[in-house]
Amino acid sequence: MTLDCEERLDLLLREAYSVDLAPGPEWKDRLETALADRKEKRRPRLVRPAFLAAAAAALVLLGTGAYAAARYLRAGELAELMDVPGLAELFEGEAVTEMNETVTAGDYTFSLRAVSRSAGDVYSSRGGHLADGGHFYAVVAVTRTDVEGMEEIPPREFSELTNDVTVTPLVRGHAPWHVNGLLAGRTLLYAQYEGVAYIVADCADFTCFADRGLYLGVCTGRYVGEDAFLFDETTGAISPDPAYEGASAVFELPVDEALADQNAARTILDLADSRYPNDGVVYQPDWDEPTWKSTIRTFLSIMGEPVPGTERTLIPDENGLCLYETEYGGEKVTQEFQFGKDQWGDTVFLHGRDRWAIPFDDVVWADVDAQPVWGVRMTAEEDGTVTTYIVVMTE
Amino acid sequence: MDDLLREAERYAPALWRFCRSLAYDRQEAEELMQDTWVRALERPEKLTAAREPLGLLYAMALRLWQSRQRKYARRRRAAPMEPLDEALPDRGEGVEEGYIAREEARLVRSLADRLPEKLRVPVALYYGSDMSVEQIAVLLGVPIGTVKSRLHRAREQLREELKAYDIGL
Repeated sequence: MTLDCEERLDLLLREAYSVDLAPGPEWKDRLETALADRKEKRRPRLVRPAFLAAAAAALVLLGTGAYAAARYLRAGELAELMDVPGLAELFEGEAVTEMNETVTAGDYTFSLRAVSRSAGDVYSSRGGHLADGGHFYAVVAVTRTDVEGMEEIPPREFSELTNDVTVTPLVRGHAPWHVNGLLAGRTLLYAQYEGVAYIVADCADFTCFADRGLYLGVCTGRYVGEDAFLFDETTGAISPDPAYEGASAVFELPVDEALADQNAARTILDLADSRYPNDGVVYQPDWDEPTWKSTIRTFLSIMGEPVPGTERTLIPDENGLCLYETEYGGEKVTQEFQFGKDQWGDTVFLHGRDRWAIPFDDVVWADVDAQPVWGVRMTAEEDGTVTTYIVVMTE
Repeated sequence: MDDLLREAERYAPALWRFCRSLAYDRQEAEELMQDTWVRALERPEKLTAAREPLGLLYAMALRLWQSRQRKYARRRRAAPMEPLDEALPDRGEGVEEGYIAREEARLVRSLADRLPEKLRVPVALYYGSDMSVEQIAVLLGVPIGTVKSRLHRAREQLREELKAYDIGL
């Protein structure tokens, strides 16, 4: 039997994809192992921050050597010392991740001891409500390098060490002075033991940004100013600013990507926008504007998702002109396009504002005001109609 | 969990074909399948409540795939893909015919893998996972006509490129 060209191509394609019809026999074992590992550790992305190496000229990294290990309390011991049973359970349970990363900056040594995430609300020993469930906590030890060796920190110095040190979650791709823990998190508790001040920081539910990458920023000062941290607009990475007249450090946090929650992230970003309007960083493109816009259109074309209720089937008039009208985001949207004779295929028209956020991960998801990138997509079908709808980038 | 793992076994062949069609090589497909299951089994209530569990698994795998494009692309640049020869089917013909068939399939797959993503994915799902145009439209969230036109354009592009080879097109 002779196949025509179309059938032959179909057959070739089916054969080209007829590979490995069954998974290898070991897939189930691997899955069970992966599930067990995940349950036990839940820390798939623990990576020592490379950017700290870049700042090594100003900062001295200490490892987890015997000196540091002997010197610091374990997080669980600290929580017991603070007499907060909920925190003790949190830092002794399976959710805890021991970090033991120490950075010396200026006259300060900051050591991230452990992080953990609570399942339920945290109460003090007297039953007082300390924090909501689902929050992320970090234990940071702070010492002044010029007052090492003290058994007890005098009240004044202790106050300086704690009240004047800010511990905050930061989000990769978002300027530290725009999106930080002051929006929702807070310092929970202070303690001192053998000359070390400890801060238990409530990083709120910033785990909703888990898929973007989370940092813990520590800096002297009572707020996150523009000078404590460096923000790489190209990669979205955040690092301590060696030129900062105080002291600052940044730790990369191991957070399970599965905790990402786009709606919760949006709520925090909206809060950031309302508190710090126009404080985002406008992308300064190396590319020319048409190339940049074309790239964003390509993102929308490949990854944009249709907005329900906006689809229309249009029939071009005798001149090939199509007019699309709908409502989106409470505003009227109009898009006109003239198709050439026998022209078909997709085209995407970019809408929204021309202020793009930082392309930290090669993809632009939102404009500088954290509004999702969106546009109008027109698809000229082979039957002469034009399917049109709004597409929006959703992470 | 045992029940869920039994469910996983039931859907494994179909999900594997789906992942294998999307991914460029076996390692990517294995990772994609495993991560899809891990994600699905972490929220088992979603899976058990789904009217079409396989559809939900497909959607999860597709989202994971899209979100990891860059990671996979970086790795593809760093390490060559596996040879397709061993994975390709044997038509049961003679040695020479079998060799030619494998070469043709390898050529077509390599050209299909180089299609733009919005053309490549519908082709992979249609020919690799035996999904209908309607199913692909639902999964990708695009109109049926869009899927049809993308398949048409993909075939046109492949046919044009395959003209340079003597394989009966």
